[in-house]
Order: sequence, then C-alpha cells, then structure tokens
Amino acid sequence: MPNLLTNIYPHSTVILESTSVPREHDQAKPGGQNVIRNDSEFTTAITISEGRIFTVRASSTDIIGRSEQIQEYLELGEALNEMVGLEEDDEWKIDAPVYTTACYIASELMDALYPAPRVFNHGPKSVVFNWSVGTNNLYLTISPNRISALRSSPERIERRVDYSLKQLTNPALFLSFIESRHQGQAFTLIKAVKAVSDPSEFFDLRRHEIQAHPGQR
Amino acid sequence: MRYRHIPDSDSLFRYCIYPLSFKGKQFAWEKLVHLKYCQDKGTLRGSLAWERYVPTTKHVHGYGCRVASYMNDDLRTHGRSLEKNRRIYCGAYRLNGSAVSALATTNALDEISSSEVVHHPENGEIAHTDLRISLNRGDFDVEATKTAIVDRLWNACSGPLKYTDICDQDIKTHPSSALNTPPAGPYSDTRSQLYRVWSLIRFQICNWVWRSFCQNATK
Repeated sequence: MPNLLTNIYPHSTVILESTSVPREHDQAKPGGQNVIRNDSEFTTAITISEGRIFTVRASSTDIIGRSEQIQEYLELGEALNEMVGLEEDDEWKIDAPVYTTACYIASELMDALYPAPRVFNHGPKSVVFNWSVGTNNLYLTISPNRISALRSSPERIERRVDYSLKQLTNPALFLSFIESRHQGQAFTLIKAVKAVSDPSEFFDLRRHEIQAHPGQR
Repeated sequence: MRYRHIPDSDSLFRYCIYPLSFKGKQFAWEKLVHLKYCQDKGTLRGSLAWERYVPTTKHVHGYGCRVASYMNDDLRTHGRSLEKNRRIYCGAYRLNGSAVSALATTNALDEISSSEVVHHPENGEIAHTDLRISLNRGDFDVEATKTAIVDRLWNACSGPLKYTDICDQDIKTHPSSALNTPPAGPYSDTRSQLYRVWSLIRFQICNWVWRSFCQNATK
C-alpha cells in the first residue's frame, strides 16, 4: 500500500562557509542536491531538482529542526504502515480506510510544520494522534470519515471539536481546523505544538476560550 | 449474589498486562483500560478490580497474576505461541469510583448518559467489576468518546504498584520497569491501620461465603 509519508526522496546536503553571494560551482551540483550556506544569522539553502533552482532563506536551526521533523514523520508513517499490516486480532491493528485518512492528516500536519505526534488506537476503527506538554494533552481521534480534537489538562477537558469528512477533503478547511477562527477571535488549536521552541504556549489558550456552538462541546 | 453498584468513595484497581498495555517495550497508558463498545446496547464496557475484595497489595497482585495466567491459558487453547504472545502481569494502578461516576457529569462529555462500576464476579474472581458507560443516541464518534474517557481515567489514576511474578523471573528486563507514574502521582494507601485490618477480615469472610455458596451461580 502506498504511504504518503514515506514517499519522500532524500537530497544530499552540503554546508559551506559563510559568504553573501552563492558561488558559481555551488549551483553546478547534480540534480537533487542541496547547498546550504552559513551566514551570520541565516542560512541560504539552494535546492536543485529536475533542472529548477529554489532558494530559501531560513535560520540554520529551522533547517535542522525541519530535517528532524521529517525523520519523525517518516517514523510515524512506518508505524501506521505496520499497524495496517498487522493480523486481524492484534491490539494495534487498524483498518485500511483509517490508515488512508491518518496518512492524509499526517501529511497535512507535516506540511504545516507541526511536530510529529505519538500514535495509538482503541481498536481497528480509529487511530489517535497525541501531543503531550507536561501533563496536558492534545488528541486527534481519526476515523475514516471524522476527526475529533480534544485538549485536556489533569483537572478537566478543556475543549473538544468534531470535524466531518467534508471538512477533511479540503486541505484549506482542514488547516482551518488547526488554526480556526470563531466569533472574530483568532483561535489556534495547536499553535504552540507547532512552535517547538516554546510548546507550553499551546496550552496557554484560555484567554481565547470560545463559547460552545453547534459542532463543539 | 446480588450485583451491586460500587460506592464512589471505594477504590478500584486496573491491572497492567504486557504486551496489551505496551507499544513495543514502552508502556502505553492509553491502552491501560480497554473499552469494548456494544453497539446494540449503546454501552462501553471495561474491567476493574474492587479493593473491597483485593484488600492488600498482595491480593491486588495475586488477582493480576491470575488474569495474565487466564490469558496465557487462552492462548494455549487457541494454539497460539506463548513465546511471542506471552502475557506478563506488570502491576496495577488505582482510581476512585468517583472518577468513573464523574464521567457522566464531565463538561464536554455530553454523549455519556450514565457511568458506573458494578460488582460482577466472573471466572472465579470475586473482585471483578464491570465498568459500564451508557451512551446517548446521537451523531457522535464513539472512538473520540473512548479517547476522552481514557484521558480522564488516566488522569484519575495513581500508581504504579509494580510487580514481578515468580513465573516471570526468567525475563531479563521485566516490562514492569517501563510503567509510568500518572499525573495524580504515585500510589499511597491512605486507609488507617484499623480500617485495613477490618477490610481484611471482611474480605476473608465474604470470600469464604462466596466460594462456599455463591461461586457456581456466578460462573
């Protein structure tokens, strides 16, 4: 079965000394090679792929963080792959439609730069993505035609939101689930999970507490 | 024996069996309580042990070891290899009956109509109880409800009470070493000495009466 998360082709990476202008031979590398130049604050990454050159300016910590994140998502993809291939009576077995939806959600999360979640299940009919910050948790329970987000602290369930299949088929809608807006107030559901440098920020969302409305509990 | 609702103030134990509550070699607390959904009845069910009939740590571990043993017997009966699938009792976590009944009144769990623990001896185990959660009819995802319940129960747990059974002493790295402390902290027995003695005497009497007169009726 194809796995969206493992269909990533590795590119070799070279880190060069600091200079403000890319040298000619930097771009003469064969296809699929990244050339990363160390500047004082930023790193310029030049990706040469299929004859096209893309230049990205980002901090070197961003690039290293991104590569770790991709590795984590590859491991998540492998875990999901294993789960769908297990025997029927295995506790960790998941159904193929659950696997497909979970891969889709994972690829959207990876594209949106969220750190890779832990994964578990309750049985073959769903898979759960989980992020923990201290004793607080965020869960995405993924079924073939539904996704449910839950944020909790040791004392209480802070928030639950359900999303339907219709909302999952459109990436823009799905991402709006992650960074949803209600009643004119920005509400970032897993904003600080994205901000790896300060994950505790995610759980400091009480100031944005939204009144319940249909579809929310 | 009359099946009875267990008071909120009473303690319950959930045993932890390897590999059911593990992901590889790591403890997976999300798998501590297994909830089975009965669609026709609209209920979620799980199993716990009632402290009234496992009044000491020794009784708690005795119960857990027997559960693992039943599972291994079952594997043998079905011709499954024990080498790969062997069930190992690792310890137990405690929670209060109030944590279960609170599920029905928890904010954001509107789909739960009632939640209780009922004394239901089975397989010769007087301490066995059923966790019974009744769900309302409606358009919600049962799987997401399970996630919320598992989260609430784990947050109410204390422990672990780790244990290595004599029959598992050949295991080089016993999986009980991987058990985590839950958010509510480690287990501590807050019962007075007098109450513990009373609990033990009550258990001995009830257990004798049950084994003598009632056991056959509850199989």
